[in-house]
Amino acid sequence: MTEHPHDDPKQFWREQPLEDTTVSLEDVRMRIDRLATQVRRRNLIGGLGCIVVLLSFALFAVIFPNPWERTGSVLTAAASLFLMYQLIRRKIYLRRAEPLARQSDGLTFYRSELVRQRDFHRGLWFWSRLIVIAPGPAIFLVGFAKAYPSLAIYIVIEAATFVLLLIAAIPLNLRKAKHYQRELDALESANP
Amino acid sequence: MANDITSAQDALYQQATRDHADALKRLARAYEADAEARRDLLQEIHVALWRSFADFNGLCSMRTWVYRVAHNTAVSYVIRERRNRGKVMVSLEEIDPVPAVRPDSGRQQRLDQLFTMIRQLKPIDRQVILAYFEDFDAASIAEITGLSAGNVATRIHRIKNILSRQFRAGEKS
Repeated sequence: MTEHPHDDPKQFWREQPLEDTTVSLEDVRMRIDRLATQVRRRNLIGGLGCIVVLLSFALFAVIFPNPWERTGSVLTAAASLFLMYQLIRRKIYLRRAEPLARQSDGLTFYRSELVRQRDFHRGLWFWSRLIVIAPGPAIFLVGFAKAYPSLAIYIVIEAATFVLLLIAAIPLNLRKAKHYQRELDALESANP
Repeated sequence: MANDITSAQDALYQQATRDHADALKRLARAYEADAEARRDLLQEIHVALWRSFADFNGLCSMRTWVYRVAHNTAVSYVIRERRNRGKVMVSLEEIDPVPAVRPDSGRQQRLDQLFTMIRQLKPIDRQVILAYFEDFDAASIAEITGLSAGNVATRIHRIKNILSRQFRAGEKS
Protein backbone atom coordinates (compact mmCIF):
# COMPACT_ATOMS: atom_id res chain seq x y z
CA MET A 1 0.00 0.00 0.00
CA THR A 2 1.32 3.45 -0.89
CA GLU A 3 1.73 5.81 2.03
CA HIS A 4 -0.34 8.98 1.70
CA PRO A 5 2.03 11.91 1.13
CA HIS A 6 0.30 13.83 3.94
CA ASP A 7 0.64 11.12 6.54
CA ASP A 8 3.79 12.48 8.14
CA PRO A 9 2.59 15.43 10.24
CA LYS A 10 5.95 17.18 10.25
CA GLN A 11 6.28 16.95 6.49
CA PHE A 12 2.66 17.98 6.05
CA TRP A 13 3.27 20.98 8.28
CA ARG A 14 6.42 22.15 6.57
CA GLU A 15 5.01 21.71 3.08
CA GLN A 16 1.92 23.81 3.71
CA PRO A 17 1.40 26.58 1.14
CA LEU A 18 2.61 29.90 2.53
CA GLU A 19 1.45 33.43 1.97
CA ASP A 20 3.59 35.64 -0.15
CA THR A 21 4.44 38.00 2.71
CA THR A 22 7.98 39.25 3.04
CA VAL A 23 9.32 41.47 5.77
CA SER A 24 12.56 43.26 4.95
CA LEU A 25 14.97 45.14 7.17
CA GLU A 26 13.53 48.29 5.64
CA ASP A 27 10.01 47.23 6.73
CA VAL A 28 11.31 46.59 10.25
CA ARG A 29 12.90 50.04 10.42
CA MET A 30 9.75 51.68 9.07
CA ARG A 31 7.61 49.88 11.65
CA ILE A 32 9.94 50.86 14.48
CA ASP A 33 9.72 54.50 13.33
CA ARG A 34 5.95 54.27 13.07
CA LEU A 35 5.67 52.74 16.54
CA ALA A 36 7.94 55.43 17.97
CA THR A 37 5.75 58.14 16.41
CA GLN A 38 2.59 56.53 17.82
CA VAL A 39 4.13 56.26 21.28
CA ARG A 40 5.33 59.87 21.14
CA ARG A 41 1.86 61.04 20.07
CA ARG A 42 0.15 59.00 22.80
CA ASN A 43 2.58 60.27 25.42
CA LEU A 44 2.05 63.83 24.25
CA ILE A 45 -1.76 63.54 24.42
CA GLY A 46 -1.61 61.82 27.85
CA GLY A 47 0.94 64.32 29.14
CA LEU A 48 -1.06 67.29 27.87
CA GLY A 49 -4.22 65.87 29.47
CA CYS A 50 -2.44 65.55 32.81
CA ILE A 51 -0.98 69.05 32.51
CA VAL A 52 -4.41 70.54 31.72
CA VAL A 53 -5.91 68.80 34.80
CA LEU A 54 -2.93 69.81 36.91
CA LEU A 55 -3.02 73.48 35.87
CA SER A 56 -6.81 73.74 36.08
CA PHE A 57 -6.97 72.36 39.60
CA ALA A 58 -3.90 74.36 40.66
CA LEU A 59 -5.78 77.44 39.48
CA PHE A 60 -8.96 76.34 41.31
CA ALA A 61 -6.90 75.91 44.47
CA VAL A 62 -5.95 79.56 44.24
CA ILE A 63 -9.18 81.19 43.07
CA PHE A 64 -11.85 79.26 44.99
CA PRO A 65 -12.50 80.65 48.47
CA ASN A 66 -14.12 77.51 49.91
CA PRO A 67 -11.56 75.38 51.84
CA TRP A 68 -13.23 72.12 50.66
CA GLU A 69 -12.87 73.15 47.03
CA ARG A 70 -9.29 74.24 47.63
CA THR A 71 -8.35 71.01 49.40
CA GLY A 72 -10.06 68.93 46.67
CA SER A 73 -8.25 70.90 43.99
CA VAL A 74 -4.85 70.42 45.61
CA LEU A 75 -5.49 66.68 46.03
CA THR A 76 -6.68 66.29 42.41
CA ALA A 77 -3.66 68.18 41.09
CA ALA A 78 -1.37 66.04 43.25
CA ALA A 79 -3.13 62.87 42.04
CA SER A 80 -2.61 63.78 38.39
CA LEU A 81 1.07 64.44 39.11
CA PHE A 82 1.38 61.09 40.88
CA LEU A 83 -0.38 59.24 38.03
CA MET A 84 1.88 60.91 35.47
CA TYR A 85 4.93 59.86 37.50
CA GLN A 86 3.67 56.27 37.82
CA LEU A 87 2.93 55.99 34.10
CA ILE A 88 6.36 57.32 33.15
CA ARG A 89 8.06 54.97 35.63
CA ARG A 90 6.10 51.99 34.29
CA LYS A 91 6.91 52.87 30.69
CA ILE A 92 10.63 53.19 31.44
CA TYR A 93 10.56 49.84 33.25
CA LEU A 94 8.71 48.10 30.41
CA ARG A 95 10.97 49.59 27.75
CA ARG A 96 13.99 48.12 29.57
CA ALA A 97 12.47 44.85 30.71
CA GLU A 98 10.41 43.75 27.72
CA PRO A 99 13.17 43.07 25.16
CA LEU A 100 15.10 41.08 27.78
CA ALA A 101 12.00 39.14 28.83
CA ARG A 102 11.34 38.11 25.23
CA GLN A 103 14.68 36.34 25.12
CA SER A 104 13.82 34.12 28.05
CA ASP A 105 12.23 30.69 27.72
CA GLY A 106 8.52 30.42 27.02
CA LEU A 107 7.50 29.37 30.50
CA THR A 108 9.37 32.21 32.23
CA PHE A 109 8.02 34.74 29.76
CA TYR A 110 4.42 33.56 29.94
CA ARG A 111 4.55 33.49 33.73
CA SER A 112 5.97 37.02 33.90
CA GLU A 113 3.31 38.31 31.48
CA LEU A 114 0.53 36.78 33.58
CA VAL A 115 2.02 38.22 36.78
CA ARG A 116 2.27 41.64 35.14
CA GLN A 117 -1.35 41.52 33.96
CA ARG A 118 -2.55 40.26 37.35
CA ASP A 119 -0.72 42.98 39.25
CA PHE A 120 -2.10 45.66 36.98
CA HIS A 121 -5.58 44.70 38.21
CA ARG A 122 -4.76 44.24 41.86
CA GLY A 123 -1.96 45.00 44.31
CA LEU A 124 -0.15 48.26 44.86
CA TRP A 125 -0.45 49.58 41.30
CA PHE A 126 -4.24 49.21 41.22
CA TRP A 127 -5.03 50.33 44.80
CA SER A 128 -2.67 53.28 44.69
CA ARG A 129 -4.41 54.54 41.52
CA LEU A 130 -7.79 54.18 43.19
CA ILE A 131 -6.78 55.73 46.50
CA VAL A 132 -5.03 58.60 44.82
CA ILE A 133 -7.80 59.37 42.32
CA ALA A 134 -10.81 59.11 44.65
CA PRO A 135 -10.50 61.76 47.41
CA GLY A 136 -9.61 64.87 45.39
CA PRO A 137 -12.65 65.12 43.08
CA ALA A 138 -14.97 63.88 45.88
CA ILE A 139 -13.85 66.61 48.30
CA PHE A 140 -13.91 69.17 45.49
CA LEU A 141 -17.53 68.29 44.64
CA VAL A 142 -18.55 68.50 48.29
CA GLY A 143 -17.00 71.96 48.41
CA PHE A 144 -18.75 72.90 45.18
CA ALA A 145 -22.11 71.78 46.59
CA LYS A 146 -21.50 73.84 49.75
CA ALA A 147 -20.55 76.89 47.70
CA TYR A 148 -23.57 76.60 45.37
CA PRO A 149 -26.46 75.06 47.34
CA SER A 150 -28.88 75.68 44.45
CA LEU A 151 -26.85 73.24 42.30
CA ALA A 152 -26.38 70.76 45.13
CA ILE A 153 -28.70 68.10 43.69
CA TYR A 154 -26.81 67.99 40.37
CA ILE A 155 -23.49 67.93 42.14
CA VAL A 156 -24.64 65.10 44.41
CA ILE A 157 -25.69 63.11 41.32
CA GLU A 158 -22.31 63.78 39.73
CA ALA A 159 -20.47 62.80 42.89
CA ALA A 160 -22.57 59.66 43.29
CA THR A 161 -21.84 58.63 39.70
CA PHE A 162 -18.14 59.20 40.26
CA VAL A 163 -18.14 57.11 43.45
CA LEU A 164 -20.24 54.35 41.84
CA LEU A 165 -17.83 54.14 38.89
CA LEU A 166 -14.91 53.86 41.29
CA ILE A 167 -16.68 51.19 43.33
CA ALA A 168 -17.63 49.27 40.17
CA ALA A 169 -14.00 49.30 39.08
CA ILE A 170 -12.99 47.29 42.14
CA PRO A 171 -14.82 43.98 41.48
CA LEU A 172 -14.18 44.26 37.73
CA ASN A 173 -10.45 44.58 38.27
CA LEU A 174 -10.32 41.96 40.99
CA ARG A 175 -12.21 39.52 38.74
CA LYS A 176 -9.63 40.05 36.01
CA ALA A 177 -6.82 39.60 38.51
CA LYS A 178 -8.43 36.37 39.71
CA HIS A 179 -8.65 35.13 36.13
CA TYR A 180 -4.92 35.71 35.61
CA GLN A 181 -4.17 34.11 38.98
CA ARG A 182 -6.15 31.01 37.94
CA GLU A 183 -4.06 30.80 34.77
CA LEU A 184 -0.91 31.16 36.83
CA ASP A 185 -2.05 28.39 39.18
CA ALA A 186 -2.83 26.14 36.22
CA LEU A 187 0.58 26.89 34.73
CA GLU A 188 2.33 26.10 38.02
CA SER A 189 0.46 22.85 38.56
CA ALA A 190 1.06 21.67 34.97
CA ASN A 191 4.74 22.62 35.09
CA PRO A 192 5.98 22.13 38.65
CA MET B 1 31.12 51.96 17.36
CA ALA B 2 27.32 52.29 17.42
CA ASN B 3 27.29 51.75 13.66
CA ASP B 4 29.30 48.54 14.06
CA ILE B 5 26.80 47.25 16.62
CA THR B 6 23.86 48.11 14.38
CA SER B 7 25.41 46.48 11.34
CA ALA B 8 26.16 43.31 13.34
CA GLN B 9 22.55 43.37 14.53
CA ASP B 10 21.34 43.86 10.94
CA ALA B 11 23.55 41.01 9.72
CA LEU B 12 22.26 38.63 12.38
CA TYR B 13 18.67 39.62 11.65
CA GLN B 14 19.15 39.12 7.92
CA GLN B 15 20.73 35.73 8.47
CA ALA B 16 17.85 34.71 10.74
CA THR B 17 15.17 35.78 8.29
CA ARG B 18 17.00 34.14 5.39
CA ASP B 19 17.08 30.83 7.25
CA HIS B 20 13.78 30.94 9.13
CA ALA B 21 11.38 33.19 7.19
CA ASP B 22 9.05 30.32 6.27
CA ALA B 23 9.03 28.91 9.81
CA LEU B 24 8.10 32.36 11.11
CA LYS B 25 5.20 32.55 8.64
CA ARG B 26 3.94 29.16 9.81
CA LEU B 27 4.29 30.27 13.41
CA ALA B 28 2.32 33.47 12.80
CA ARG B 29 -0.39 31.44 11.10
CA ALA B 30 -0.63 29.19 14.15
CA TYR B 31 -1.32 32.21 16.34
CA GLU B 32 -3.64 34.29 14.14
CA ALA B 33 -6.35 33.16 11.72
CA ASP B 34 -7.10 36.53 10.16
CA ALA B 35 -4.77 37.30 7.24
CA GLU B 36 -4.57 41.04 7.87
CA ALA B 37 -3.87 40.64 11.60
CA ARG B 38 -1.39 37.87 10.79
CA ARG B 39 0.66 40.21 8.60
CA ASP B 40 0.74 42.62 11.51
CA LEU B 41 1.81 39.90 13.93
CA LEU B 42 4.53 38.74 11.53
CA GLN B 43 5.90 42.27 11.37
CA GLU B 44 5.78 42.50 15.16
CA ILE B 45 7.78 39.27 15.37
CA HIS B 46 10.36 40.62 12.93
CA VAL B 47 10.72 43.84 14.91
CA ALA B 48 11.18 41.86 18.15
CA LEU B 49 13.76 39.67 16.43
CA TRP B 50 15.74 42.60 15.09
CA ARG B 51 15.72 44.21 18.53
CA SER B 52 16.72 40.96 20.21
CA PHE B 53 19.87 40.62 18.12
CA ALA B 54 21.36 43.58 19.97
CA ASP B 55 21.73 41.10 22.86
CA PHE B 56 22.36 37.83 21.03
CA ASN B 57 25.05 36.09 23.04
CA GLY B 58 25.46 32.84 21.12
CA LEU B 59 24.78 30.75 24.22
CA CYS B 60 22.08 28.92 22.30
CA SER B 61 21.76 28.26 18.58
CA MET B 62 20.33 30.99 16.39
CA ARG B 63 17.39 28.75 15.53
CA THR B 64 16.48 28.32 19.21
CA TRP B 65 16.90 32.06 19.78
CA VAL B 66 14.68 32.93 16.83
CA TYR B 67 12.01 30.56 18.03
CA ARG B 68 12.09 31.80 21.60
CA VAL B 69 11.76 35.45 20.64
CA ALA B 70 9.12 34.73 17.99
CA HIS B 71 7.01 32.60 20.31
CA ASN B 72 7.22 35.04 23.18
CA THR B 73 6.18 37.88 20.90
CA ALA B 74 3.25 35.79 19.67
CA VAL B 75 2.29 34.92 23.27
CA SER B 76 2.18 38.61 24.15
CA TYR B 77 -0.05 39.07 21.15
CA VAL B 78 -2.34 36.21 22.23
CA ILE B 79 -2.71 37.64 25.76
CA ARG B 80 -3.50 41.06 24.32
CA GLU B 81 -5.99 39.73 21.77
CA ARG B 82 -7.68 37.39 24.19
CA ARG B 83 -8.33 40.34 26.47
CA ASN B 84 -10.24 41.88 23.56
CA ARG B 85 -11.92 38.79 22.16
CA GLY B 86 -12.36 36.72 25.33
CA LYS B 87 -11.21 33.44 23.77
CA VAL B 88 -10.89 30.30 25.91
CA MET B 89 -7.72 28.24 25.59
CA VAL B 90 -7.23 24.62 26.54
CA SER B 91 -4.30 22.39 27.39
CA LEU B 92 -3.17 19.30 25.49
CA GLU B 93 -4.97 17.16 28.10
CA GLU B 94 -8.25 18.95 27.57
CA ILE B 95 -8.29 19.32 23.81
CA ASP B 96 -10.52 17.18 21.62
CA PRO B 97 -8.60 14.95 19.26
CA VAL B 98 -8.46 16.06 15.66
CA PRO B 99 -11.43 14.34 14.02
CA ALA B 100 -10.60 11.54 11.62
CA VAL B 101 -10.81 12.70 8.05
CA ARG B 102 -11.75 10.71 4.99
CA PRO B 103 -8.72 9.51 3.04
CA ASP B 104 -9.81 11.58 0.06
CA SER B 105 -10.19 14.78 2.05
CA GLY B 106 -8.23 17.68 0.70
CA ARG B 107 -4.98 19.02 2.05
CA GLN B 108 -6.59 22.36 2.84
CA GLN B 109 -9.31 20.72 4.95
CA ARG B 110 -6.74 18.84 7.00
CA LEU B 111 -4.65 21.94 7.40
CA ASP B 112 -7.67 23.98 8.53
CA GLN B 113 -8.50 21.34 11.14
CA LEU B 114 -4.94 21.32 12.36
CA PHE B 115 -4.82 25.11 12.69
CA THR B 116 -8.17 25.17 14.48
CA MET B 117 -6.80 22.72 17.01
CA ILE B 118 -3.47 24.52 17.47
CA ARG B 119 -5.10 27.92 17.92
CA GLN B 120 -7.15 26.60 20.84
CA LEU B 121 -4.05 25.53 22.75
CA LYS B 122 -2.56 27.36 25.70
CA PRO B 123 0.71 29.13 24.87
CA ILE B 124 3.18 26.60 26.27
CA ASP B 125 1.43 23.64 24.62
CA ARG B 126 1.25 25.59 21.40
CA GLN B 127 5.00 26.18 21.58
CA VAL B 128 5.65 22.49 22.10
CA ILE B 129 3.51 21.34 19.18
CA LEU B 130 4.90 23.97 16.80
CA ALA B 131 8.49 23.20 17.72
CA TYR B 132 7.69 19.50 17.28
CA PHE B 133 6.30 20.19 13.80
CA GLU B 134 9.41 22.19 12.94
CA ASP B 135 11.46 19.12 13.87
CA PHE B 136 13.20 20.44 16.96
CA ASP B 137 14.49 17.67 19.22
CA ALA B 138 13.22 17.32 22.78
CA ALA B 139 16.26 19.08 24.28
CA SER B 140 15.79 22.11 22.02
CA ILE B 141 12.06 22.20 22.76
CA ALA B 142 12.94 22.20 26.47
CA GLU B 143 15.35 25.07 25.83
CA ILE B 144 12.70 27.09 23.98
CA THR B 145 9.84 26.44 26.37
CA GLY B 146 11.63 26.15 29.70
CA LEU B 147 9.91 22.82 30.37
CA SER B 148 11.84 19.87 31.74
CA ALA B 149 12.92 17.22 29.23
CA GLY B 150 10.50 14.74 30.84
CA ASN B 151 7.63 17.17 30.57
CA VAL B 152 8.43 17.77 26.90
CA ALA B 153 8.52 14.01 26.24
CA THR B 154 5.10 13.56 27.91
CA ARG B 155 3.60 16.34 25.84
CA ILE B 156 5.06 15.04 22.59
CA HIS B 157 3.57 11.65 23.37
CA ARG B 158 0.19 13.31 23.90
CA ILE B 159 0.58 15.29 20.65
CA LYS B 160 1.29 12.09 18.74
CA ASN B 161 -1.85 10.53 20.18
CA ILE B 162 -3.95 13.53 19.26
CA LEU B 163 -2.63 13.57 15.73
CA SER B 164 -2.74 9.83 15.22
CA ARG B 165 -6.24 9.80 13.75
CA GLN B 166 -5.32 12.34 11.13
CA PHE B 167 -1.80 11.18 10.33
CA ARG B 168 -1.77 7.41 10.56
CA ALA B 169 1.42 6.38 8.82
CA GLY B 170 3.64 9.20 10.08
CA GLU B 171 2.80 8.51 13.71
CA LYS B 172 3.67 4.79 13.60
CA SER B 173 7.36 5.61 13.64
